[in-house]
Amino acid sequence: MLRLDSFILEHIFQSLPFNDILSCSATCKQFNRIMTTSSPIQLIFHRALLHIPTPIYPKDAPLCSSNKSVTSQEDLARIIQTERNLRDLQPLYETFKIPTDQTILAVEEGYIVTREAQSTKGDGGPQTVVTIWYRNPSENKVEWTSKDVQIPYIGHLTGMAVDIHEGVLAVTKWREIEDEKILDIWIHGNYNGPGPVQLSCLPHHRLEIKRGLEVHIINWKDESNGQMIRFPSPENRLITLSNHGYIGTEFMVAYSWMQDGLILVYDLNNFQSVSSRNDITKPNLILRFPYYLDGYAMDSLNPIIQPANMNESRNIVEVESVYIPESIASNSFCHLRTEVWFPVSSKFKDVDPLNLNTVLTGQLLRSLTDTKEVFEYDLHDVQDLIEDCQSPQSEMSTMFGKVRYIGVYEWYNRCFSYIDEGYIMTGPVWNEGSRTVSAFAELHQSQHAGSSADGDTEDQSDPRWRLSIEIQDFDFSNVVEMRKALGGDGQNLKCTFNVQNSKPPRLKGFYRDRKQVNFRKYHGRSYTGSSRKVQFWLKSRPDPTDRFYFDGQRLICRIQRTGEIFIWDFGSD
Amino acid sequence: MSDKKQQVILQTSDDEQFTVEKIVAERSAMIKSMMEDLGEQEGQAIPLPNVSSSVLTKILEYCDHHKNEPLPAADSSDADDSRRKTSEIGEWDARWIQVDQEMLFEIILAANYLDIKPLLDVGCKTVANMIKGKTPEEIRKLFNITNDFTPEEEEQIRKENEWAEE
Repeated sequence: MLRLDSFILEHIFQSLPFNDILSCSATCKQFNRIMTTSSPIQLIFHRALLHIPTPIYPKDAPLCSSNKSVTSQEDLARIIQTERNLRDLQPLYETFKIPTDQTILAVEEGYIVTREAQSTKGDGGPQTVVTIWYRNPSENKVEWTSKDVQIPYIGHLTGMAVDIHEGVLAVTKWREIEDEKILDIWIHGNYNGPGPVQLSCLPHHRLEIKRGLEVHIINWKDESNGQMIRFPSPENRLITLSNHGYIGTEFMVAYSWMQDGLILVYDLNNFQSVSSRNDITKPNLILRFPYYLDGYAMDSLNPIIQPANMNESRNIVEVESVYIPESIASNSFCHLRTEVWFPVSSKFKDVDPLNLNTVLTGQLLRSLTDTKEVFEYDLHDVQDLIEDCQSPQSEMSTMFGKVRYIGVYEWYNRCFSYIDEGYIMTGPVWNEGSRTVSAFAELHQSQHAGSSADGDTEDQSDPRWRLSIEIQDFDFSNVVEMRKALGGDGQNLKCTFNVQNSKPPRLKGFYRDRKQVNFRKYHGRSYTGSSRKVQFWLKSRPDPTDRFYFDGQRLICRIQRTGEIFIWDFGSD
Repeated sequence: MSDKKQQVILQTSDDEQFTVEKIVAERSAMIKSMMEDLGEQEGQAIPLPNVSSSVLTKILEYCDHHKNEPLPAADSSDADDSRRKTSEIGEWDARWIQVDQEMLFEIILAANYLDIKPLLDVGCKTVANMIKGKTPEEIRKLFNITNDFTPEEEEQIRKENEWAEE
């Protein structure tokens, strides 16, 4: 039997009933690994779970006790094993096309959730169609099937968030009525499940959806005062509480995530006011959450989170600081789902939080230099990590090969991409808002000969290192001033500045997707942002620890190696 | 349309040559595309380095029996239809695939290599049928698998699975 490779075994297992799949997973390690890592088989599991009436959590478990952990030790062990198995996998490369009028909202567990750009008119008012795409589990060839879910009046993109987990789709819409903020949550249980259900919850409530589709609404200030709603249940199909809670990926008012059948919501309103754009050394928030589950599954926008300490015996990462750039907190939004992104701090303090190129998942810290190249670090081997982080161009040998369960996204207006359950998704991220959006720095190792990604005319013989900084959402109308500011240096840096004023960005790559333009159309406002690439030529190799920060007026560059700080002031005065 | 039966020569790993009708060989998507690549080169044998002559003999039997059926479309999947029950093996196929385990695996591997989807299906379903209803220990015995779990791991898995067995 062992002569059959995993692909064939996967094929065999797919035609087995659920119970036999379980038996096989208990047969030997190879089988077990296939069961815990194959997306199609996991899909069978998840579907089966949804149809098992008995929740796997004890029925008499206290609803709101503080020690009610997401993970039992058994769950945790299984997750760890799954992570290990995932590490050994060869990922499946698939191309998946969605219609151009669809926006990708979430990818999880082999599901891809999209929504159409425009709401459509239905009998009971406007409808938003959310489409779930899933891979047909029993074909070895990739076949995508879709299922539409109609959600009443979601409206435009703002304030909407979607998550899918264990076959349960949760769509949320955030709205304000007079002084109240109301969160509506439509939960769509699987494909054959009941229709959407609208839930709202109070501030400081935490909403959890458990396996077996129990909905728990927990007052996290007063944990004795919780509710539990068995779902689906006709009398509980509509629960309206007032004021607001939050879920999803919108705005910076909450963390929420859905994992292991849970939707967790935390209100972050209080932290907005203390966030600071420039001061990124001051901790704003302390969060603690179970590492394996919540850690990498957290949905949030773009906070920079620094887990200060990993206590492995408790499986807790203590998150020391969350930085919420003001630009995000105030006025802009991205539609983005991400697995957790940690620039891992304190003991890994050389990782530059501005680069946001590390992700913590399982036992591994993975450092991404772009969407394709991935470094992996065993967290037990900190020394390696630090060394490699300092020279990300040293070894690029670990390609996708071992990465299966990892979240990736890039900063701001860049595309996002992530890998989940063997699916690698890329797509544009939209961002609209104030002009105080950070710069994104990228390093190019090559001597820029033949590099044409940005369409610049380049001095082909220049052996120096190119450093590109993309500046977004900045008014470049006063170009002359900027040239002066950037070009006059003449020392170590030479700067070219590519200006394409008042036109949509024409950068190849990240902007070639027309969705950037479509967004403008259906958002009903014009796209006010602009994106420019500033290039510097350095005589020595740029270092990933160099920091670049653009606060809307000044570009600040700190060269770690020399300690130099360069400041270019783009102020219009 | 030529009625002349076109012939194809297939060469197995043990250097045996089989001359078969093109329509039979074309059950294999892999051979089909190879023939398209090679073009009309008369008398040139198509090498099949992963298939032995005994297995190929068996598989050609299958291909010959099914030669007049339409080739499966590349995208012939239907969400509801796709998780077919393990019992759905045609009568002839079921009889044909009554072989020893060694041969069965060889057939599956060859079907995968030759890209004969229906045959791969038949093979996999046959194996699945063998697994059905068996305990882990019985499965190990059936396929001669060594139990490489530690007792702790085994207990762990048993615990995880027991909720489903109610």
